[in-house]
Amino acid sequence: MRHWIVSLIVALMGLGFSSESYGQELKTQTIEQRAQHLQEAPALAIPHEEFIPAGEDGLVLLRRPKLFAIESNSSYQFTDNAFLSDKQKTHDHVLSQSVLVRAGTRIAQRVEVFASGSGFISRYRLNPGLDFNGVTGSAGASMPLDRWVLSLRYDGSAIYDRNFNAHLVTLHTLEFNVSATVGVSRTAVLYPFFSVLRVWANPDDFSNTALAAGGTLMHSFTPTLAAFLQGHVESKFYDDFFEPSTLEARHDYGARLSATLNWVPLEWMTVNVTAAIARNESTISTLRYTNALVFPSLQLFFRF
Amino acid sequence: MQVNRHDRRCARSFILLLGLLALIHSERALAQSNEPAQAATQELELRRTDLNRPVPLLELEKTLAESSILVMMPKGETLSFYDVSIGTLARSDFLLRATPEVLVAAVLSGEIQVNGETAEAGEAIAWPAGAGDIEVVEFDAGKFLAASRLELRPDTKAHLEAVAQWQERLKFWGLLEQAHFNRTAPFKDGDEDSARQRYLRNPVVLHLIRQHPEAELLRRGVAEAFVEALRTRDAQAIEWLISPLLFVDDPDQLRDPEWAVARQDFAFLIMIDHWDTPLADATLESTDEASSWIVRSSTQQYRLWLEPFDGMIFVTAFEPIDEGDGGAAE
Repeated sequence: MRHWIVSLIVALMGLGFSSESYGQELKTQTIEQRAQHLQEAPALAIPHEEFIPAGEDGLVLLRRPKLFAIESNSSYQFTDNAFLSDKQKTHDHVLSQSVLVRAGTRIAQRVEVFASGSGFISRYRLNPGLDFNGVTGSAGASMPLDRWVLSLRYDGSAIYDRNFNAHLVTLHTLEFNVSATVGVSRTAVLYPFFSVLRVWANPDDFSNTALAAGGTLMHSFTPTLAAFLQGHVESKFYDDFFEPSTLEARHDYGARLSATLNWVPLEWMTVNVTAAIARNESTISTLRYTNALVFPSLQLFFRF
Repeated sequence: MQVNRHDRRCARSFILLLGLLALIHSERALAQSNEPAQAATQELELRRTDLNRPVPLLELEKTLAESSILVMMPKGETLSFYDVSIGTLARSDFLLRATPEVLVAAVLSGEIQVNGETAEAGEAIAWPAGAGDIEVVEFDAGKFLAASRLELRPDTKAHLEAVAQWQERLKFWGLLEQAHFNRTAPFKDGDEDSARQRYLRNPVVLHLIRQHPEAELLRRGVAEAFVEALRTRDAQAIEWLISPLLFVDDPDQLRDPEWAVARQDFAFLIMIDHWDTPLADATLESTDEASSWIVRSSTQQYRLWLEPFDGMIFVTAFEPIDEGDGGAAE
């Protein structure tokens, strides 16, 4: 039933319907991407330079690792395009909070496996109708192959409106990623990557297949302070995005550039300040947008 | 005739055989009777592992800065060094290793105790530098058995082999991993351990780092140690306290051992200047600058300059202050 309502609204949007209802329904149309943008708050941490005391006597110390972690991520985001549409560009201030529980280990000293679960809320100050809550479960594995790292991960997200009254979308994402580590200088490292993603969604209008490629350049100023420059391009092919209404297949392609300053004042605390700009082109005109973001975030870790 | 000769030969062989058996029996009995006596009289024994030579107890700290040491210690004894004490709950063999970041006692057999924490074979007690608490960790028994040139007793070796098998299983599932001790090193790659060893692994520096967990205390400790080394004309201590950076243009050049020879020569030149008399009654005074101290004696004032490098604080200059220049260094 909701599918038909949304389809009707999308059709009306295509006909240039009133901007108020237009904005009301854009919140549904773009929930998938808004949720993705908020979850892109960087989870970066400077790799610690560590000393392994081994020597001529072959004495290598071993320790029981901490396999579990609880992580809190708080962020404030200023966005100049809350609805993610150039046709109704309005800024907003978004507060987000997520709590994540994670378990992981490294099998055969080679294959990293993990599982995690999290809950998150996002609150828009000027457009509270865009508020959403959600839960996510993830599992994945990665392994090095020569100088590359291959990883496969599954993310399942269920996103609801502000009061959990309405289910907005459920996304099941399977991602295959290839990345590498390239030393640029004594203090700079480049991490290029390529990803293939398949998303199964409910409603199935959001189901898509995506290709993404990009890289992160990290420059370390001190052992606890680093800057990251990230860029990636992405192309998404939607299976059936309200096609009976829009009369055309949806194909998005976009690019995102961001710069992050990353500070690790304590072993269990990371502070990031990120500025990002994203451009999305779409075969559906209402879903074309440019979005500039600034968001500081605070991550707290507790490992056990 | 031939039969008689054969009988005599047989009788002689029989008597010889009996004598041999009696000798073996008596040797074994003697050995058995000696075992408890040896065990009872076993004393503390220290051996440096690189040269497999005994180490006198008084040279434990000095030698530990150069090499790992195998300690064989009877039950109920206590061994103290670098401000730590190790007690034995059973006759124990353990390996000591000191780096600027961590001091380690790895138990090969027996059981040791430190501050109420105990470690058995396959385990190690680690004292991280600074104010860090001691940690009971494990050491990789498999890697140790593969790399060590120590002659281990068969039961010790068998026990460590069993520990190694169990550790392999834990390592496979990621339940055991290499222990890391954070540090800030001036080198990013290469043979940094040997380069750092030249300026950090010596008893004076290790002692100062371990005794002074905070930078302010370490600064004072280095200043006092340097003045004392001048006063006692201890060229070795003077050498170890002088900054290695004075002899290179870039920290990367510390990989080349030539700088150490230059520092040794420089320390000798300082020592022959006879600082013992002018500094006989010297006292230290802090200044507004964290990097310098005033050394005041009845005849002259001096300024001592210090500079932190790689977790240690080294001496960079020691110079007289001219009368009437307001304390400015020359």
